[in-house]
Amino acid sequence: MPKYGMVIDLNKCTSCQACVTACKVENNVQIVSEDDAQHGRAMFWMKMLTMEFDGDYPNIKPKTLPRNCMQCDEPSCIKVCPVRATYIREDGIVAQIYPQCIGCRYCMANCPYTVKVFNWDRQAQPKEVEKTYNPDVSVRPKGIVEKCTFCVHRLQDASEKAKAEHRELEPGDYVPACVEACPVDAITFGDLDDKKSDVSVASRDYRAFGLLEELGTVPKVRYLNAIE
Amino acid sequence: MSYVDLHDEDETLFRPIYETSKSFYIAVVVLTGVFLFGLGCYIHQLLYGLGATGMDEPVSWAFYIVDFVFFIGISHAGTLISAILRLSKAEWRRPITRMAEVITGIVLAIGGLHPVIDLGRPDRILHLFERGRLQSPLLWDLTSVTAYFTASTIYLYIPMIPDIALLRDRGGKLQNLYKILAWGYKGTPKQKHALEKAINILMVMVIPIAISVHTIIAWIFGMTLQPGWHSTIFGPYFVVGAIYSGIAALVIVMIAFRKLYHFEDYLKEIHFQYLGTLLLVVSLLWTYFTFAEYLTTFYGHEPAEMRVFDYKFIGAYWPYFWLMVLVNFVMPVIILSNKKTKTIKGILVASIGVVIGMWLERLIIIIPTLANPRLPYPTGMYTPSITELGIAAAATSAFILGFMGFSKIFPLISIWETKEGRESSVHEVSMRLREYLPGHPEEAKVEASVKAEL
Amino acid sequence: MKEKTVYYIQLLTLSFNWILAISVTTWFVNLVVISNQVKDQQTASLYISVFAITVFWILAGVLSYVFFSLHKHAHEA
Repeated sequence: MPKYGMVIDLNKCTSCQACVTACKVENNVQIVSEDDAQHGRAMFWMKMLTMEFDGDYPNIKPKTLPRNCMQCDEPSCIKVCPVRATYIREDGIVAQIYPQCIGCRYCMANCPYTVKVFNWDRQAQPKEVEKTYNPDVSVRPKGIVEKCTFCVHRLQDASEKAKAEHRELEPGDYVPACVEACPVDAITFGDLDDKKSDVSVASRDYRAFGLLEELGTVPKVRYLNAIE
Repeated sequence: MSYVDLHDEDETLFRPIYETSKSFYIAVVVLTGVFLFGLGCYIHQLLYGLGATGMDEPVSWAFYIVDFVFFIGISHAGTLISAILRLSKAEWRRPITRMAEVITGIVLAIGGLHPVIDLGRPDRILHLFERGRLQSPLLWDLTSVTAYFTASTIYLYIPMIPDIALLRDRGGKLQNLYKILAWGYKGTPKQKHALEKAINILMVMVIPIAISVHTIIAWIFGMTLQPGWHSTIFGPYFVVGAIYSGIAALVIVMIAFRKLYHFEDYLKEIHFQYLGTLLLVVSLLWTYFTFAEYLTTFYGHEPAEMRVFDYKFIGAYWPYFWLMVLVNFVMPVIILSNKKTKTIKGILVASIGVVIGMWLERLIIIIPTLANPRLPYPTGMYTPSITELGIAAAATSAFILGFMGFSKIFPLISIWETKEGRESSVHEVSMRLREYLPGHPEEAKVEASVKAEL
Repeated sequence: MKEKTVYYIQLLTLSFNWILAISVTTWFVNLVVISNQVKDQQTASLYISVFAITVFWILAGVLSYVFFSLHKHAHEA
């Protein structure tokens, strides 16, 4: 069984936010009203965080970091869920079961990365958006929690396709939308257990680090530090 | 035979059941109005979603959870205090225990509903029963609150049976209800003995259950990884806070109904003096816990913890934090340690302060942690919406309504315990005192039995 | 109301407590089975269920004890 992981090279990342947009479109993430967005209810599974600002105004260089779900090996969200609306798959993906969620938001309170987003209400989406909904991903109702799933529907697609073609799933068959969209190939994705895979090699690079690793959550999304 | 013909020594205690003043009805109408408004707010929230509240992305738990912890805290007034007083044979407990237990029952029901109000999908609540996971602290909580509610209701009911029997024997209104609830109690010695035995078992059982309830509520926060929450002291800290707010709420209720129903002869100044001393002790204990909690945080100076710490001490929440210190520590200690100010009025002022302060404490524990996530998100600022305020007001008025309703059906002060105190306790206590004193207790016992025979 | 009716209503209310105790027990057995299936922490589940089940059964027992001894001794001096 493979163990899917991701490495994001901050040296290559240009903070263009293509991954943010690609993720939002791919996963039918709700577009909230302006009011709600100002209130801090904007929904993103992939989010560009500004970690710190270098230099003085006007020559500011912000250091950014694209953050999706860390797909922890020891996820703190799963421990506290009272109904098993979130669970860890054998391939390491921390998945959500939307019809199960009761909306208690305990997982949100316990995620040290604050990756979970809640459907505070359900608003009418722009017509153009409704036309381009991804049929592979369910549209979530109001009152439940959601988050990045490493585009698990793509894995399903890819494995079904491989099965139909009577072959094994090959690396590159399955990549999440953010990886695909990145114009500078800053994101590598694949099987962490396969020692020869790009992602596995990159995750053992001397620049590699995990976000808030010290908490013992064992994130499977790792970063390569930006070095001038 | 109507009740007017009856004359009991403790007639004052029966009167509220049979006589209702006009102002009572006015209060009921006003409170029902507030309650209906809150109900409307909740229906709006059901239809619109939790977007109707003021909660947002980092602050994903707010008012409802604060109220939940607060109300469950108040519920410790009752059963825990009355069980401890009964267990320690404090004679002054007699007029207090009933009210304390009623507070527990009503407030637990209200507080226990708050997590359901907070759910995004209350229609899926049954998932907790079908496929809940016992490793989630929320399930522990559900279990312990249910256990506490059952235990405290039984603990309220069983010592009330003799009083219900008294009401049944008087005849008049609600005859059938009393007949059913009195369980055929006639006051025979064996019946009395059975009741006593049951009360003894219950009071020993209720104490650990009560402590477990608030410990587990603390663990909802303590079990997470979040700065400001992940602390080993949280269990006992919450329990002390719960007892603290519980005593204060009990004092307020006692003073209010003492005035309303003219219980001055039963709830004397000495009762409030004793409760005031208890309040002072718990106040100091609470301050000690608070101090220990924040000093260790400050000294460790971990960045994530310090962001929460600063948010409370000098950041956006400083007014609430220092107000809490004022009304939870400075004010009660000054009022209650000074003989001149430790009057009923003074104790009332201190208690109102403590109830407000303990609500603020829950607010200060819950929101700053959520508002300051570990990663650099914009710091959240939370303001409650009208929906949340309406539901909080409705919860408070539901509590008062419940208490008032109870007082119209059952006596608020245990009548049989008062009578028992008058008839046998004076002798019993002097006997007990004799036993503590140097000399031979057997002699005292013989003397007592001789006296009893005479 | 007749004595008999009163007694049956009392029995009915008392049985609610037993229904509660029994349903809590079945609920917890169900949850422990589920926790086994989804490979959750076994110890936590077992401790809590043992604690809860005992509490509810003792409470129901105490209540029944009071009920039956009150009725048994109602007519003695």
